[in-house]
Amino acid sequence: MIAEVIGEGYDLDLDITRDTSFAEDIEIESIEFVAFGELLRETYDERVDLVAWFGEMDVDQIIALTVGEVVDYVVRCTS
Amino acid sequence: MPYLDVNGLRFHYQRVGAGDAADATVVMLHGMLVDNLSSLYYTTAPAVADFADVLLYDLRGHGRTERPPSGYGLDQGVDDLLAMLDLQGISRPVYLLGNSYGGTIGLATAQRYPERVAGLILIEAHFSVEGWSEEFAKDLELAGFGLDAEDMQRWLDAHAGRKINKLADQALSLVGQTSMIADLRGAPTLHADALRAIDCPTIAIYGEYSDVIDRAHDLEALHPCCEMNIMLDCSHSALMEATITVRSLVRDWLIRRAAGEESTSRTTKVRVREGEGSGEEHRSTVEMYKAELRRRHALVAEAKAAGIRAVEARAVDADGGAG
Repeated sequence: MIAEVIGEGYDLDLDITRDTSFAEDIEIESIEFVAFGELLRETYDERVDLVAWFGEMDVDQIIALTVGEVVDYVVRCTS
Repeated sequence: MPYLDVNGLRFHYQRVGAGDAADATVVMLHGMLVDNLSSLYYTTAPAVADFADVLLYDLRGHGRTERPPSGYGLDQGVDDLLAMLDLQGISRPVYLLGNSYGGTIGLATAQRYPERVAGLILIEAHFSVEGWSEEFAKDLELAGFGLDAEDMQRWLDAHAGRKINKLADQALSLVGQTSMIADLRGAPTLHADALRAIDCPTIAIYGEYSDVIDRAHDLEALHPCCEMNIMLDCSHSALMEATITVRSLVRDWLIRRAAGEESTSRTTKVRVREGEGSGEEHRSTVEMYKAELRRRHALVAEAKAAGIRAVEARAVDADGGAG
């Protein structure tokens, strides 16, 4: 899913774990993260609403997000 | 991602929040060059999305919207906004939230189409008082000039990220391969009388160390109903330096509008939350960067002038030889 959003330039050698950071490790662009959020919503549930979730965070926290935190959020939304 | 054809260009937009049944629609307009809708998607959209209909789009040439070679004037920015509203089926007056150049578009829209604007939320808005467009264009040109191929490569090697490369690509392409700078030079000036005539409720937010703090003083002096908030220890990047504080100001102001409270002129010095701010440091970095770019610009101008003088001297020599 991440590869689909990032497309060209995605480092296929990167081993994605729960601790992988979107900004530091994947180097996802901010606009790509918007697309990623859309894809999560389409794939899992309408309740996956990144804009609402971001309302609880400042910019540093958003930048520091890891794959594990997003997974946990999606699980919370869909359970 | 959703796209719409607007004025012959493919625009990327996002419509989030409480939907068009909500009491208010807020259109969010981002800044110029290295910006796109995501900066507002992460910061201001979450502040109002639970009660307002929110529309964000990438301005022409930015983010995932098409980048035409020309058409970057302020009037075109207003025309794009109006066409976008019509295509989205939004006919009621909207709140325009603009950061930096986005605020410029907001003010110009309120001036040209007051019936379409319910209110303005201006964050670090530039606007075109006398001489503004020339200064702004010069700064952008300097930014473009500073990124010459060799320096750029060195900088990219040091930072080496695909994200930075992509942002630099956008900025370089806008400055070097479009008519943006020339178009902005021609931006219409917002005269004092026009500013006085903008009478929609307005909230403005500026960092105390902002390099456009004079615009805040213009608004205080001329706008008839502007709530001015000066953010202590913030710079032009106030939105990023104090996101939570900005969010709460914007949210509170919109809720008060919905409750029917009138917007009155007043200025508040806002103490940001712990951990927010650091604008003075940020401003000094920007000043150093600009000073270095200006120095280089002067060196090139000097070299060009010397080159022209040398060519002229040779021409005179040749004339002398012929005579």
